Amino acid sequence: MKDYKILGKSVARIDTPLKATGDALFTADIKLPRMLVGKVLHSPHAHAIIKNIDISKAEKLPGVRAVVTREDSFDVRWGVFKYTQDHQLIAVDKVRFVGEEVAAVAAEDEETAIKALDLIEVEYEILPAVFEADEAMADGAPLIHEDHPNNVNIHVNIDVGDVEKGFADSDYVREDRFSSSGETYGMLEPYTVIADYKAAGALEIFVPTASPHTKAKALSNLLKIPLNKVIVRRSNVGGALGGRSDIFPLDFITATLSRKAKRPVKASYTREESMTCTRQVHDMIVDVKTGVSKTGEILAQDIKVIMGGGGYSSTGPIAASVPFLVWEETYRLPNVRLNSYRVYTNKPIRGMYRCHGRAFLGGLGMQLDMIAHELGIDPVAIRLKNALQAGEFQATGSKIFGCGLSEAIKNAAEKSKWAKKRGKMAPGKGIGMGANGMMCGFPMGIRGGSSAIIKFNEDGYPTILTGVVDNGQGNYHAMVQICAEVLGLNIPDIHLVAADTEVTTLDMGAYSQAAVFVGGNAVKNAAEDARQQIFEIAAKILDCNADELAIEEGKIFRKNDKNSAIGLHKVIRKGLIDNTPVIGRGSYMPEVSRTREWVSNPKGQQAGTFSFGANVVEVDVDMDTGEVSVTKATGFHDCGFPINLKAVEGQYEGSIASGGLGSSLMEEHLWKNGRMLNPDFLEYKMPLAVDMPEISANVVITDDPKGPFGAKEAGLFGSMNSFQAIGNAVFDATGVWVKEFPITPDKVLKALAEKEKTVK
Amino acid sequence: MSTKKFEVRLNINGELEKIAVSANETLREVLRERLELTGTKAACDDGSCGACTVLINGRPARSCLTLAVEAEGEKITTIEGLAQDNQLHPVQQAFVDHHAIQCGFCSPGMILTGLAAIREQQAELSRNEIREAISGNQCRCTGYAKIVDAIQAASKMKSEE
Amino acid sequence: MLKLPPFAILRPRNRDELKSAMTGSEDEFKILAGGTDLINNLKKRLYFTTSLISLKRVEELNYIIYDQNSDQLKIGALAHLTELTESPAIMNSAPAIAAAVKTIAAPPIRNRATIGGNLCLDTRCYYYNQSKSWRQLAPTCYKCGGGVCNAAPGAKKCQAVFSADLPPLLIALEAEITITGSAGSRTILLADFYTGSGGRPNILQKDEYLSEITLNQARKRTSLYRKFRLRKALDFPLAGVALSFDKNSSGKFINPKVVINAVASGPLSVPEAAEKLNGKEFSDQAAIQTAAAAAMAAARPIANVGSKPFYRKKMIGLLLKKMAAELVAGQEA
Repeated sequence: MKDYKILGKSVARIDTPLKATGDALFTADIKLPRMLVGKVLHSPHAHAIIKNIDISKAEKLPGVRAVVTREDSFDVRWGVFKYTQDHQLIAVDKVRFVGEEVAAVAAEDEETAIKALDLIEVEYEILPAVFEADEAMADGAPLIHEDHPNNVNIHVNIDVGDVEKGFADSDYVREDRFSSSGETYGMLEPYTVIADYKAAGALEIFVPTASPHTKAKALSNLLKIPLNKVIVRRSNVGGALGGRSDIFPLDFITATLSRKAKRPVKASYTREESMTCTRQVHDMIVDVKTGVSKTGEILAQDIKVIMGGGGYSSTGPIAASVPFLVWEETYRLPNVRLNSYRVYTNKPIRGMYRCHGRAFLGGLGMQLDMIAHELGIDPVAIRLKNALQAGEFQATGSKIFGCGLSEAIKNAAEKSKWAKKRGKMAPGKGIGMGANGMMCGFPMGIRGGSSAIIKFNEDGYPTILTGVVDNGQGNYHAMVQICAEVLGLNIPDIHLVAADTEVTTLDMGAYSQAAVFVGGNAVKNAAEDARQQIFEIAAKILDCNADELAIEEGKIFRKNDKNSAIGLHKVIRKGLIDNTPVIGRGSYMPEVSRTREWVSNPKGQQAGTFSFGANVVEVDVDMDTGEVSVTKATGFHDCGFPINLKAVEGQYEGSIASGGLGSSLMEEHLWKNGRMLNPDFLEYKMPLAVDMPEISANVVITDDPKGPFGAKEAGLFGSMNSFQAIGNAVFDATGVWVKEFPITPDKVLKALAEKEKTVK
Repeated sequence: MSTKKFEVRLNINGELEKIAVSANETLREVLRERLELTGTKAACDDGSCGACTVLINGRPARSCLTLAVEAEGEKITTIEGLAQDNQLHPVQQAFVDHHAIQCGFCSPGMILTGLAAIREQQAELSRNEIREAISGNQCRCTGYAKIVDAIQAASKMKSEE
Repeated sequence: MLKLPPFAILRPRNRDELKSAMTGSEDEFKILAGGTDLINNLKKRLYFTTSLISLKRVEELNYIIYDQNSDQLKIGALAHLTELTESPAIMNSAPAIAAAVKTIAAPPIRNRATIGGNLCLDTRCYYYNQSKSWRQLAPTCYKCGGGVCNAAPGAKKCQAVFSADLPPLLIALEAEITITGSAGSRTILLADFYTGSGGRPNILQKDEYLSEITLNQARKRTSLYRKFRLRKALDFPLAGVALSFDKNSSGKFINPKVVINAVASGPLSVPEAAEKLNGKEFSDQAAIQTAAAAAMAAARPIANVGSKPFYRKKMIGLLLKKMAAELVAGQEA
């Protein structure tokens, strides 16, 4: 590992002391003068036409300051893409899921607001509803959006090579079906919005968002306010897990309430509302047929996916594609076909999740082990055989740059003592592996890049302005570390202003694993630009050329004469008086295909670079009860270069909880007629401390040629491959495959009983 | 039905707060909304998450399941009561040093719960004892690994005192 | 976040004041002890009540006393669950109680929750323990005063699940409870306290409260309680089994009792299962198998809490087998 002064070490983060004292403000902690309380009326029906809404009684209730309904919808539809604009952020003609926002009030206090909701009379005509994705796709199912036959919201078709020939050439072919139920993001912070629509026509909004600039753009479009008047403020984000990037009805509704009431409004969702009215995670059915050579080389794959999307598109094209993209980022797929259908259902809206695609990535990764088992190949060997290498191209055309996938697989196997354990442990004990690649950024057009500014005060201390967001993963600290390394300063010397659309420049935020790779490159470039300006001014003072200078500990000196040092503040002051103020400016746009499109043209370079990882999980299965405990997890992550080692480790550890025990073993939505039976943290089972194993988090350093100081995405390898690692470990322990996630004890027991039957 | 207000004196972080509360106000609501001690978080609505944890007479309790009137006469410690003279409490410092804090939403409750376990410890806490102590506090970011590291380090410090 | 409905609170300072508060009140009231269940249920508007009567100041109700001579253990209803785990009186007499308490919820909840509250815990159901607006989406169920069961359409009465962990163990230990009311006190077997009805799980009348739990021969019996849940903490039981028998060194079940939990609207004693074990060795697989089958046959889980009914039923048998295996292991150790 390269030896830097600031980078590559485990250092305490700048944002955490305030979080430790309770001083860090989250949106719900903020109070504005004369602020009203907003409350939303939700649809009680899964599918119904709204015939009439009568708000007259609610409006007359003393203390009510505004009521909004479809009359205030601006007649606009939201969609992440032009072709997915299907969502009116307050229901207009009909409602498409239980919980959809129908009306809202702003009142002086919460009790009045709740009373007012009870006074709103909505007349519905109930329509037949459909809840399961495969049923929604069937002919004759009720249409949720009339212009989408068979309720198909998005169909992504990818066809590479000659799949039929690949199967014909294969020595072994198998087909499997995997499925998974819906999930919950489970970030602790309930969704809250504060909107302050100012008389001057500007909207100020505080909201937990991973992508403030995207939020601003959406609100600008929806409310028809110029983008520079939509001020999305940074407040701390109490976890995102992929679920804080989209635009939610509550954003629009709170802004509209504020505009009508001419007062600031705060609307906080309850836990139940947070779990049903922001975003949920797709349920999924995956049919996969795979052909391999007798040495385990993947020759052909044909994959059909059906995802339950809920009532609206959200990030549909992305959701329909990403599990496949992660798969093609991992293994060589010479002949591969994908038909991925995201289907409308009368359930809440489904979005992107940190552990999106457990039936897909868990399923395909388990099928790889099934194939290895049939062919008598070790699961590690089959992964190494098919693993992509640096310089290779993925199925849809992305080039791999730095790549430590094989090294991660080998290291994880070695450290976990795989060879001694796999297939050799006592009955009920097992070990399994998962591996994956991960794009550092989606193709996002103008939103795919980032820019940063570094300004200096006359005392020599800089402030970084960047649109990067920190949801908890440590992005802010990474930006400061990068700046400090370049400018020869210490971390406390630097101030950071981030994620505030009034002052920061366009950035996608903490979305699509791009923050350190894209935003970090922009900050690095800005710091280098500032350093160059500093050297040019200092060269005049020190009577030398700029390239003869160095900067350390806030002092600039000639490389050959440390005694020549002058303070940075002197240089900054000279810049000011000479009318050449130091303002660092940097940007980064990843080199991705400009013509690639999710649905219409899914080929070409999709991301600037890719990270990789491999994960070995050990389980203990109670052969009587089918209960699975995870006893150990060992991960190796090619994150390029760890800017902050403990922050990188923490991402993997967290993923063993959410993607590992949670997604693989415990977490599932339960439903009855479109109503979620477990919309709370007691009955929706997220892992607790006592459920967790010891975790060994490790890195593989590849110094990515594209990343800032070699760094790239850190975080999604455990969350995207623990499903297969655990599913495979359960097989190793029990000899049975459970193909439905989560792998709950009842399913294990059923599978064991079936196996016993076949043996008899 | 009586909507009578009770004049209560709440002992919060060593200071007596005199405040009129209704019977149906929870301690969490009074702390957050009336006294603006917003370090105590609200997350789950049913007592299952632990983000609203405060110490009542030194022991962790759910402020969302405790009526403010019932907290009268008890010694209440919130996260704001730990740091002294701008110095983080050793448990807070351990959370910072060990990267036990990511998004920070569970941290106040987690720190207070860890602190209570350390204060009651007979000897340095084992990792499983720590997991048991924090088993009622949900965290979605860390996988609890570094939280256990931090509490263990603070526990070790305490046992060596 | 959900807010509590308006209510008044009465805060009696002793049992006399408590009695007058209860008899003096014309309104609907609820008794507030630790509040860990009640406050939640009030937020969800599961009960209509105009006032709460808080037991907090009635410190006479908080005690744990064990008398070695009479082998009698008395626990005041207001003893906190954490206190049960720390009490030398319990460790010396019926340590299985402390072990069972440690399977309840999590430490911060046990710090507030009381044994009386656990014994009076309301039954639970996916269709009942929801917010008011959620419940309004379906017909009013038996438990809310209506005429249907949303979890088991066609059921003739409420099917909500009994979910308290201590009652099955205490019933297996033949615990008695004292119920105090305006007309005085009465002592009954805890087993007789429960109605088996999901709608109204126990026999407490409006003017009564549970004041004391008594084990008359606390050390006489060996007892165990095991539960199934999806996480290793926090969760209510999805199946539970309590087992007790006369303490002896013969390695045999003498006068055993089997009480199963969380698979019906009340704790269920299963004498058919106990009979099969009576006089049998801990290691008698055939006896244990038939006892497990009898216990399973008594279980009537339906799909109104987590996991699957078939599995919860199966777990009743498996938990009983596991306990027997633990007893064997304990002998060998």
